[in-house]
Amino acid sequence: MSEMWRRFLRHRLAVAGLGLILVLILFALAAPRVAPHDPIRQDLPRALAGPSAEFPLGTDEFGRCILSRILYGARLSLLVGVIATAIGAAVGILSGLAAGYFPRLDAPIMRVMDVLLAFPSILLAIAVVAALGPSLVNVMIAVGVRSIPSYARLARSMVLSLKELEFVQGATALGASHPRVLFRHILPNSVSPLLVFSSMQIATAILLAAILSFLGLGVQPPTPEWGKMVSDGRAYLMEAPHVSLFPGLAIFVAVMGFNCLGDGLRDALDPRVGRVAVE
Amino acid sequence: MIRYILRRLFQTVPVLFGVSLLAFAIMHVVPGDPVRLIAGPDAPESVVQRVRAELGLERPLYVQYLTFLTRALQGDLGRSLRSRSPVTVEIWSRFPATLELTTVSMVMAILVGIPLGLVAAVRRSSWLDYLAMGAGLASLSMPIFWVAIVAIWLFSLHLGWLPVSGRAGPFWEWEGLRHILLPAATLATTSVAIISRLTRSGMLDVLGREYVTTARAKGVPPLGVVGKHALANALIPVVTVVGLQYGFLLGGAVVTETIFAWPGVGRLAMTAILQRDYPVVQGCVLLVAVVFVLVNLAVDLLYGWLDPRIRYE
Repeated sequence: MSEMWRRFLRHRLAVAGLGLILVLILFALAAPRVAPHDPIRQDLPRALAGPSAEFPLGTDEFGRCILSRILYGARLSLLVGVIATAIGAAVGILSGLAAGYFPRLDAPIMRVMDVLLAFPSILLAIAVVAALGPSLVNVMIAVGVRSIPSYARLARSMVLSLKELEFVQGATALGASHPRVLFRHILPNSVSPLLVFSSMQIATAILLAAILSFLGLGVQPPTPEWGKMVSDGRAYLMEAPHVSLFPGLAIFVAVMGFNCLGDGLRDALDPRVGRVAVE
Repeated sequence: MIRYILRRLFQTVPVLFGVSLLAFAIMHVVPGDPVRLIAGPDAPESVVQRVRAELGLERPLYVQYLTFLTRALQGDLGRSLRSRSPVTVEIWSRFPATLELTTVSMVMAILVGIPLGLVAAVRRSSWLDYLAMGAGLASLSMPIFWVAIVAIWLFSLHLGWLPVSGRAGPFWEWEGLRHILLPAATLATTSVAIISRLTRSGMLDVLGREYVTTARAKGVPPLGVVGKHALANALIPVVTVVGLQYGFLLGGAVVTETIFAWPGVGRLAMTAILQRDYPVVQGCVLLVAVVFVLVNLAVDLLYGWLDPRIRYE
């Protein structure tokens, strides 16, 4: 554990990523205390004002404080990123474990995954939201569905490589039940790659959720959401580019944080994989 | 090789079947009555009945699916609920624009990504390497719609070099080229990052191999070692990813085309979704997924041809 931690700390980019995420979480939690203004209150005479002491990142077309909206928006983006990934991970890992462990289930489960993989991820997410209707929960489901096949493939490959190993064979020989073998022996030994993958998946989920909101398929106004904020600012690009610029930067920072963390975790948890992948 | 091709073709059939099932399902998982959604909440009963009959929604589900599949196989995807013209006509009239955008974008990604990865690998751990890989990681983290907006703000509104949106003829004409540059470059950002990272890792892997050392020992000049011995082998995985990226660009085109008002299939799909024009949504989803599956198939076959080990797995 300490060796892993040391390796992680040596990866400067990863530490920077973790730092970014922690700061973001802190701001998200403390938004009501640190936000200078109410994120929803309109102040039309001050619409589209540039950055100032009172409004550090300026105001939007309704005179709302952009910094406050970004801080509150962090709650939503992080929440969507984590929950969507959790949905994808839960369904994907269970399917992958079943496909890898029970040969009879392998072909049917993996063919379904092939079908899901046949859609470009953005299109799949858009199609799911289009069918279910725009809402926060549906965005989480849409973004989560997209990652199911990747999790399933990863979990399946872990089972296939682990189930032939002696400790798993031993457990089976001693009469351990299937769930016990899967959840006590195989799953704990697959945690590292799944953790690395999840960090990257949260990054993608935040991006994808922002895209859906940008296209008008996500959270509905006046809830502050980063993608929607970028979209709303488009109309004022000429006179007030900051309205789109700053929320976009917030998305970039959050996604970059999780991507860097993923890179670092990969190096720390599995130096063999890390070296190949990073190089 | 023929057995390999046949096996891969055979594997594609169930996937395409599943794709058609999912595209069909879009209209049937809509909460509430899709007919009411389409006809509007205040539509008279006669209109509702007409729409229902037109969509064939009163028949059993499996009959509806079989009809959908049979017609789709014959190239009939129904009619748009808005324009009343056949969905296939709507899609095919816009497909060339999307094909043009994704192709120009892919060419850009290759022309920038491969040299970038090559330089980063040859000059490993230099500032050039860090810069190239840092830029790669950054562009993987940027939302594509934001890149588009910043590009429009900088190059169109601020500097006035390129038009804000639209398409003005094919890209080999001056105005057409000016119009396609921004959307294609925006669409290419993620692919550049992926291609350059992969080229770099492929090159680093190959540069450490014995045959490269042998070539060097024989006195082959450095450019010859990189260009002739290393690059050709390092590019095999890149070929796969270029193919896969081509498919992903089709998905990304939905966002790019919407922002740049590019008259392609992506924008058609987005407009159809917002207008709840379900037959068009179905058609677009089906088309993109089928193209995506076929591109993947082509990539697999190409990979099997380039790397004979794959065929015998």
